[in-house]
Amino acid sequence: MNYLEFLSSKNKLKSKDDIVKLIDYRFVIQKQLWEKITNSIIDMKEFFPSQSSEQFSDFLQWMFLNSFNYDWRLYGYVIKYLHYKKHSLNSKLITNLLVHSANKWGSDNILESNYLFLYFPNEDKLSVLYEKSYENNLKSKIQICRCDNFEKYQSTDLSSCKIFYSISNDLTYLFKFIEFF
Amino acid sequence: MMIGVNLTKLDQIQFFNQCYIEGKIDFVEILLDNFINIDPEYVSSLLNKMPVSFHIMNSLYLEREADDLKYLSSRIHSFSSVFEPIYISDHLFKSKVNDVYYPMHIECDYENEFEFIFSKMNNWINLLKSEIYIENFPSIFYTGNSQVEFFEEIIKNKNINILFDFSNAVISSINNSVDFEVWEKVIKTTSHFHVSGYRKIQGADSIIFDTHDRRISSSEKSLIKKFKEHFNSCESTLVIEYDNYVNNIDWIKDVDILRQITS
Repeated sequence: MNYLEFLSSKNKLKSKDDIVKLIDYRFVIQKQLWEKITNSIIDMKEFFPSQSSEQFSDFLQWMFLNSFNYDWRLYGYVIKYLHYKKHSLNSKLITNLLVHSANKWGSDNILESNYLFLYFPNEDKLSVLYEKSYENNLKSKIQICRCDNFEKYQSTDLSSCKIFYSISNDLTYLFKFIEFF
Repeated sequence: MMIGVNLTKLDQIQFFNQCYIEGKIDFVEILLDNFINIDPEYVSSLLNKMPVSFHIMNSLYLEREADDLKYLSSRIHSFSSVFEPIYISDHLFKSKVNDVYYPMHIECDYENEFEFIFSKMNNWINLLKSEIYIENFPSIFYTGNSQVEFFEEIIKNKNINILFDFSNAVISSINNSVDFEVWEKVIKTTSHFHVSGYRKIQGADSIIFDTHDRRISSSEKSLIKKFKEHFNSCESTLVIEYDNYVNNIDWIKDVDILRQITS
């Protein structure tokens, strides 16, 4: 099966025209995903030169085979994919991708935790800490930090987990930790 | 009929206040997702008592955990108590398949998931403690009359209504080669309507997309004119949605034209 192939399952497509529409629909979704990644981070065109390039199709197929989410985690999975493909990633690029993931999380998830902590342990534990701010606007605050500053959170898979992290005795913040590895 | 526009950002409020004072618009429809974590009293203070309705995009009441839905409904209650909205509206779509989140809204299978959807919708209504208007979906793949039949069935429930989006119905009728008039029975039952711009995307000529990035089409205007006898005078509302590549001058031109058409 190919990425986005779920749309073509027999019970979904009920007319001949739908096969043509499916091809067009996949083209549009692929274009939107490619633009999301490359418009945000210019350097990404080095890895994904066009929406129809073999590299980008391979990335989407890898996402599909691993059942990864195409939501705000997309940018994090780009890091994971490029690392898996043995591409050399500089710290600026990794941090950029983590910041984009955090920003998208902030705008997409209306009821998530107040804090998101993203880190990539393979390259010097690059991390970002994202704080949602609701003081009469929707601006977010992002700090670049090292994950050594936080209690080590171990996971055996790329997954999310809500934990309570005590800053002090009387303050408890709800955190979401994501590790890309 | 009250004519409104969709409010998606705080920085639009000054412009909309001016439009309200000048009699261009009668209300704004607040996209609650973008305001849900802000103090409703603060938003109210900016809106200067302008009438409002509520629109919810990503409640995800079909998929979200019970505790999260409960919390979300409590936030909506806090807004309702401050604003007393004309109506509360939501959508009908899924965001994930087999626990994987996809980058597009996924249309429900109306025939095979009826019980599931109906149960989740009722649960959401119970949490909101309010009747709800559910927007019809801009179908891409063939669904025949199943969406229309689904809405005809669910609006028999006294707390569920349709927020009839003319554009979405036009899009569905073009993409599916289904006659727009199949919606007539449903249109007669509701008081609240949406309309927005739509278009083809280059490289995908077989599909019309709901883009909200341009002016209302002539075919939409014709359909609104044709069905306006079903609008229930002063209780009815029509929101002209524009939230991508927004051009305020074009927006207000459409507001003026639709006011003329519906009056």
